[in-house]
Amino acid sequence: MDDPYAVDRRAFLKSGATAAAATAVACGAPKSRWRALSEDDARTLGAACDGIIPPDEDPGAVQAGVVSFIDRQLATRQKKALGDWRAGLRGLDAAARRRQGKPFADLPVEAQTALLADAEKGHGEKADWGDVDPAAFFRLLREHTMMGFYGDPRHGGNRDRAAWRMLGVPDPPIRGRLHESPATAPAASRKS
Amino acid sequence: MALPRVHAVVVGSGAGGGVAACVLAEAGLSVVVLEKGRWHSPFEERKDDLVNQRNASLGLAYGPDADKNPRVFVDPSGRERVVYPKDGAYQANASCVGGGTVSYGGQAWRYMPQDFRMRSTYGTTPGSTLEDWPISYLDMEPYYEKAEYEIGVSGDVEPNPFKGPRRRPLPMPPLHPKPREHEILRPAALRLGLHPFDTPLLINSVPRDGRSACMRIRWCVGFACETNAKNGSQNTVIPRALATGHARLQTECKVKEILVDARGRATGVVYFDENDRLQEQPADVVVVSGGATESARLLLVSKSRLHPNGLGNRHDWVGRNLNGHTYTGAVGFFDREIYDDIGPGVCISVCDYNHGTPGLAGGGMLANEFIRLPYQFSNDQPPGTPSWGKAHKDFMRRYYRRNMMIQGPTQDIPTWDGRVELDPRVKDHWGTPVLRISGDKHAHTVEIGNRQAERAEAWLKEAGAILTYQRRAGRGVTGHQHQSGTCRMGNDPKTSVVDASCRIHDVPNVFVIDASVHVTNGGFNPVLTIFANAFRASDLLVKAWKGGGLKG
Repeated sequence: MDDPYAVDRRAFLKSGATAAAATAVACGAPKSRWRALSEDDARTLGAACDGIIPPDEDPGAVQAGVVSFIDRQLATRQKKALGDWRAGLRGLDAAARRRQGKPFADLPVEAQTALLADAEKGHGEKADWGDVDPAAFFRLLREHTMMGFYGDPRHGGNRDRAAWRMLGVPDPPIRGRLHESPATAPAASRKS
Repeated sequence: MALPRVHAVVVGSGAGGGVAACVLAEAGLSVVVLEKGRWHSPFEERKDDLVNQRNASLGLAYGPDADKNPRVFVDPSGRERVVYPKDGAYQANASCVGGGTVSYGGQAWRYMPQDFRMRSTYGTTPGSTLEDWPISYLDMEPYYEKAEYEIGVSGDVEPNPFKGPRRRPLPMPPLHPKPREHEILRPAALRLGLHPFDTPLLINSVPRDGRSACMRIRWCVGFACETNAKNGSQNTVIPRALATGHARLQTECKVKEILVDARGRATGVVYFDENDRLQEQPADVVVVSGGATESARLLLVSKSRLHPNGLGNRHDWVGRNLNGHTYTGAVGFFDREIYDDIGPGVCISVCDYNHGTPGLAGGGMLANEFIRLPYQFSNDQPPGTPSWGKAHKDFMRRYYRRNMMIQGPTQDIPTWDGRVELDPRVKDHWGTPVLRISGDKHAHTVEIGNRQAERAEAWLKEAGAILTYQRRAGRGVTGHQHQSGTCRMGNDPKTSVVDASCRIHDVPNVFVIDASVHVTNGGFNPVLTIFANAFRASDLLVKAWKGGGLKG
């Protein structure tokens, strides 16, 4: 793994908790390990991305590095989108706190999914979302999660080609491989 | 201070400009090609499914520059916004040495005889500018052959009973082995009474011209070929032009305007070089080959006392009739494996529906689609399918390897209002006016496009699809890679911009050689017609060239 910003899901959650504790003690924002996102925003983002592509027998969005992907885009090519992202993540988190009394990232998966489904439909309280259109934020979230999950690993997502493995897309591409051995190749390309 | 004078300056190095440079240089003219983009060597390509010409989620790989050339897009309801190249509304074509031919899929279609005679075949269509070309299929036939042999085409069109007459078969056989989609779709088409055949492609199926055969990799359309097996302007006619010793290619040069003297004839061009310094390049002949949107812009921006509305624009035709193609089709899902990872994907096509639908003008070719990469497919689901969550993931796992798509370019019925013009306010990086794109599809185009979608769906069902959905015609003017029509060719100076030799009616030493001159754009990918017409027009230019000057 050549991405210094990559963290696995467990370490990510644990460090999030540590960071939250540090915040409580120091009463100041912890220094973020992300390029563009704050620790809190990254934590909300991870939970939201996993709502879009949840982990099951194949990796979910966080395990596949989607948070790294989005953070890297917001620090480089898509700096202009950072404001929209921040506002949207905070809207989502505010909706969670008001309705469920907890940060979005701490809710059970079913409650997270329900909040995301509301956002997709454009439902949201002005008090939580402010000027953000929840539906527009949802589209941004879905679009970037798909890019990070299925796109080229060089951008920080699709870690270990998780999405391509899931779909049985051979990598690297070799001429006629499947044509010559159609039965074995897809299985061989999956992680055992 | 002006640079040394040359015989011809060619603006753009795509299918049109590349051929023009080659033919003129080989005839002994001194040529300078000014290209806005840069070279892309096939050997430095590292394919990126988020940065290419097919999917520009994170940017375009082969231009235009992300920030320097905005445009203004006016949607069919009249709302306008400033757009940049990776936005679909921009109608971008690639901007680099070779233009769109570096990264195209390379389908190598001849238009059919009827495509040159749309008005005679179908009569007038209210609300359209449907017209005949001033030349016929038979005028183009020798040049189609020249393009097929000199650029390089593989495939087998002999079983296509709808094709125009041709003297020679294609120079290369179809790619081998044939993908699984071919094995499934061919018998299904035959059962429907259709006439399927192997799609002609500007891709080497055998080593040719010092370059290798295709290695069948899945990343094809939208990408440069890393083994250089895809034939374009940049690896055929441009190197030939440069090999003559009297053609020069200047990259990262943005032409500002065509200079005109007191008699109204062109004297050369001024351009911004790679350091944004203004240069003057005097020339006896100017060839405009920037693609249908940028060629029109260059003519419109070149205003002078005798041409106050721009060159060739005395009757307001420059920029009109913008059209690309209306792509429609269908996706089919199967209960067995289809995916075999054998690129480029497209391999089988029918021309049964290009003409002859009662009550409708034209139609289009249908073919199976290039391999769609996983990210593309994640946005490509039947209406009503969950687009996220576990259900999305299950759908991807179930169907990524079990689907096929058939689609085709429906011939757009051109309109007067589908157009590009100069925006009165927005300027580009160099301070020159940008394009303003507006208009809508003709209702007829939508109707026949949707008919094509139904036909594609029927083919997939016959092939055994258990679930299908149609991709029907949307709204809005088309342009993109197939952009055409903005400098229409014709015999009447009042209703066209250039004559049958692609020479501007009232500016005898300016030629437009690209898809701008297409009167109609066929129900096919247009590039072979651009190559062929460029060979034809350049031949005529050379014939008109006598001893260091242009006749007429």
